Amino acid sequence: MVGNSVLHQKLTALFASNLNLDVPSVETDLIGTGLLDSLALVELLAQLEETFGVSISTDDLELDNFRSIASIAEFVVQHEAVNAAA
Amino acid sequence: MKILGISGLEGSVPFKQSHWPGLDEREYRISQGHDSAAALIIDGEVIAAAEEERFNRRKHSAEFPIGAINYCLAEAGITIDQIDELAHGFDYAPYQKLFSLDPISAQLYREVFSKEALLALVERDLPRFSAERVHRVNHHLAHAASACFTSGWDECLTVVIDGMGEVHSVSVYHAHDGKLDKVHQLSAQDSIGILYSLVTLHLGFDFNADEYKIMGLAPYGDAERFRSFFDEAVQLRPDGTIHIPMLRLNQTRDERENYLRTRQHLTEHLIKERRPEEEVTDLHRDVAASLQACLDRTMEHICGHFGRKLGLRKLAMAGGVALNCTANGKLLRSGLFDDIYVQPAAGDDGTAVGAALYRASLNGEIANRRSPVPFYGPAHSMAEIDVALEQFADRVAVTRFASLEETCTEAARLIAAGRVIAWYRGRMEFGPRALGHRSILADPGHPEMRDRINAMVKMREAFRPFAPAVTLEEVDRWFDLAPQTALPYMIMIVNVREAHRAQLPAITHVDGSARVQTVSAADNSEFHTLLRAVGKTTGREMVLNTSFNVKGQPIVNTPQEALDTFLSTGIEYLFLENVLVQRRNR
Repeated sequence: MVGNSVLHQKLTALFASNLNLDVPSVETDLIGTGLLDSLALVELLAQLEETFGVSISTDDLELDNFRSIASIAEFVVQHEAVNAAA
Repeated sequence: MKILGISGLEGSVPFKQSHWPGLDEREYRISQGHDSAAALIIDGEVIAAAEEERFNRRKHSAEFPIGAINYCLAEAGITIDQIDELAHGFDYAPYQKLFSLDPISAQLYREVFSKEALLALVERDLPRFSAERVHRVNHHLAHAASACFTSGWDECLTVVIDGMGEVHSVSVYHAHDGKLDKVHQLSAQDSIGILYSLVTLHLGFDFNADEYKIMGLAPYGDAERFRSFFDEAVQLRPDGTIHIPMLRLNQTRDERENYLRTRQHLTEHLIKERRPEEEVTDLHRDVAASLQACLDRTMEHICGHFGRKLGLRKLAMAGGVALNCTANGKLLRSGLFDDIYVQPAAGDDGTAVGAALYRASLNGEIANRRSPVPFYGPAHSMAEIDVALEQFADRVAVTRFASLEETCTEAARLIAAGRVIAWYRGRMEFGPRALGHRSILADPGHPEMRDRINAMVKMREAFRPFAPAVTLEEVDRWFDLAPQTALPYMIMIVNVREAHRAQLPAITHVDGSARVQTVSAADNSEFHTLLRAVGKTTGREMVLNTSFNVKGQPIVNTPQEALDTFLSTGIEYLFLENVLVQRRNR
């Protein structure tokens, strides 16, 4: 996801500043490593909504979209595209 | 509709005990769902409500509130088959996926938080009750409903602040037209309630239980000493939110469960942990003062911001943090709002009322009148009192009075003589405060009264003052309030007028404040009659009012418990309705 590098940086910074999580790489498995717990994920969703305008309901979220910074970036891009088309 | 509301999560502490064995007893309170209670709402009106601890006699009990449910049904004279809905003040369903991130959380969800876990308890204790009548209400929505739907206001700002609900620590609503519009929520990662509780634990007291003691300790300390620490710890943001980075230090499941890194941070950057048996020093007093000042600022910041943003000048609050009478009093005096209503059972017990009221609101059943003084618990008839007196006949002597007035005249005479009396009548209070039906009373003017009551019954920390109950007619005479200011729930701290502080030593805090309860003929008539009588004997229509219980036990419920507590303590006289009880001379 080379094209998403700016977004990757933005998300990495968001993790560091708002979630106090230093994520080693954009491919790091946030769930498998236990970096992301339920409360951190709630906070992440709120931050994504505030920063990127993507609204995600907790009861229909797909955890795989949040497995790494790379997958979150992909998810944000898709949502922005859907929002732009609407 | 007949709706039973309930609170509490029975499996919560046992789950923690099985997965984290060997913790300090106090650490098991870092968990969800304490203070089980039940409430019965019929056609939008609260008919009965009580905490389960008053029945099973285990303080802060989280067990499924079958004792309280049975009481509510008996009070209304109905059976469980006539209940249309059971509403629980937690709804984790929208967050199920969040709790599947790690195996222990998934198991916690399954065994404690899920609807299936609730249904198993219903099946166990209410086997005839069908699953489709069981509903769940988001925790903060239940708190919010308990406040705005009993505020008597058509429109207000409603703020819920507690440790955490399912995943949030603060929820702000715009209440109008019988609805609650969500305005903003803060994550539990920024929970001022959890921070306050962690510092409470760090100072050697109990998490999720003893926060009021820290509030009581605060006026003895210097709030500036650790101001910079707390300013950095709790960042107030221009958008009305707050950010608490130190709650994000915990990165493993163990650390998150018990806030290990946050507590280590407190040790390294604030003060070292105080063990419960260690002496309370200036250091601890200054931390308490700085923490309380931080909470005061935070409440003003959040409530003030959203009040201004929505143009609302009336504020209704609930949630455990809203039990902090000091912060409430500061908010009241801040001028940010014209009026503030704190629902008197602001802790989790109140979500039993709120969950049921919320469900009733969906049917348009809410009348929305200001909550009376919450005498929603059981009353015991003279026949029951006589049975109890018979059981204790060899140990007590009784004097019967013909009327309330005669009883009050005798009680007022004893109070003026410096005696400590227990006062038991009518329906038990719902919520943490004894408001004149299950109370210990004395004259607040006796200099040694605080120490005497502590020694004879309460055994509590010497630094905590007792609270005054005063007639509405005299509130402005003694306290820095406008005439007829009604504060009937003992949930706001106000200032004692400077000229009177010295003559009210038992209820005046070191900073000149007091946690006042006003008593009117309209909403608390028998207690008002007593205060009027006390006015004739002491010159003040005021008593020291503290709850009728001994340390570590719930407030008494039955006449037997009243007699038992009376006899096991140094309380000198007990009034059971119009009967004066004294120890027999042996």
